[in-house]
Amino acid sequence: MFLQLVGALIVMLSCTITGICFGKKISYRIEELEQMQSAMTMLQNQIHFLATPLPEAMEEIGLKYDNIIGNLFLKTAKEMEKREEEKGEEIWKKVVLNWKEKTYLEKQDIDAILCFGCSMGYLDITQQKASISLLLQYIEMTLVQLQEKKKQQQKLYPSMGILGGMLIVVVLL
Amino acid sequence: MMVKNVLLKTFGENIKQIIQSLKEDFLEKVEEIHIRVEKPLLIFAQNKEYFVKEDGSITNKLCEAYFPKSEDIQHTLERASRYSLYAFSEEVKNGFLTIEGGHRIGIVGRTVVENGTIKTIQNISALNVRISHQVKDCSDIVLQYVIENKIFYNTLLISPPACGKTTLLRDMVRQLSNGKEGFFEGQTVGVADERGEIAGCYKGIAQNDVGIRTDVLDCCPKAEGMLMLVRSMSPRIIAVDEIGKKEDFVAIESIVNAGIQLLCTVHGNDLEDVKRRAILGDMIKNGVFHSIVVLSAKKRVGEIKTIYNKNLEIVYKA
Repeated sequence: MFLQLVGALIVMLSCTITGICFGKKISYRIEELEQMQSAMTMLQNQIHFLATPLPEAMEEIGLKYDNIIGNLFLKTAKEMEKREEEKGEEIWKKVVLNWKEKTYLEKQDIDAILCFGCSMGYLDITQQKASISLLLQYIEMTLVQLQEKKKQQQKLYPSMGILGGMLIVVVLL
Repeated sequence: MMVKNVLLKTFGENIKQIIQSLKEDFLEKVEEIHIRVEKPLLIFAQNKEYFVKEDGSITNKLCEAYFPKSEDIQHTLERASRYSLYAFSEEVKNGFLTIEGGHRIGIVGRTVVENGTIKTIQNISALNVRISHQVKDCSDIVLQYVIENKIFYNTLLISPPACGKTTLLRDMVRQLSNGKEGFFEGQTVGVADERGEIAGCYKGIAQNDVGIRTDVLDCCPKAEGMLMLVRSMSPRIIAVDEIGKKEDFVAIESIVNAGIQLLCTVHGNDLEDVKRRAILGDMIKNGVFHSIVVLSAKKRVGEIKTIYNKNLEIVYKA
């Protein structure tokens, strides 16, 4: 009986934790998008006011952000300095595709980030700024939707975890 | 940075492969590389012109030469600007961009004009990569004439394009800044490097050796730059390349009046040619310049043809 109780407790606990983790995923995605928003705004300012070349601007921003977003910027700056690819767009694509596995971002977020690379290195500074604005707009819209979704999901996943745990316990007992 | 390393980072893949196959000692002598869409790739070295094959070997036959495509130019521009062409938009308007090491890439294409001024250049069809060389001590002869009683006085360097005036200017700046034991003492030199060719700054730090007492204002319009240097860095000598605009002469006047010595260059074939110019001609006639050095590239690049003194008398002739 004692062992059964311990087992039931373990099942309940692990299911609850799984539920909480599922609920947290959206928070992490929001966090990453917010960091990307802040870094991109900084990049936009660097381009607009200082006309800093991308590798320098990205390195500077990358060093300021000690997180996964900073990692992306630093890696891009490093690859750009190597100058092995023909186009900036190719470098951005290569780095982003390698990096995305480490993030909580979803396919649509990655697509929007990749889209920013399409106009990378264009002569026209307004085009450069416009492509950042487009990404920032996407992030802003997505963040609003995600905050709504977060409110709904915040209780849903942990509750589902507890209930799921209970169901398993009942079935097994 | 070695010329080869810079060039390998500058060109698009096809031309990069060609450059990589060129012999190292030949590459060190290269002065210009001309890339024109659907026209043969041309390299100028030691006053001679060479066609280059796709495998990097030199040829005399036009039909064997490599004919660059428009992608080669696009890719070269992307790499040379470190994928940030927008950062060079001001330079592109003037028809060039300066890369690491102070090398200059000249650009032609279709200009976009807005309100009577050039907004940008599109459909770029040809590039001219001009390689800047640092020839240490190439100014030794000139310095003997421009320094009197251990003091440097206003000097004007006259030279046609591509005759080594920037190289000479750079070495003069270096030597004036460092000083030479028993000859003259090193002095604070301010360089208004509008095109980034003299010091070849990268992230604001001079890549070329311009001396220990040299302050460089990188990519700054000359006229404003000269005055800014006077106000901020208390230089004894101010060096500028390719003067010519009206505002340059206004700035020069205030510098000369402030007792700061000027070292500048101007495009021209000889003294007579420059004397005919409105403001500069008057300055020469009024004896503003203590020495006037005329360069030519008849025998070799950087050859000093004549040196005139304040009274326009010849003190040196090659």
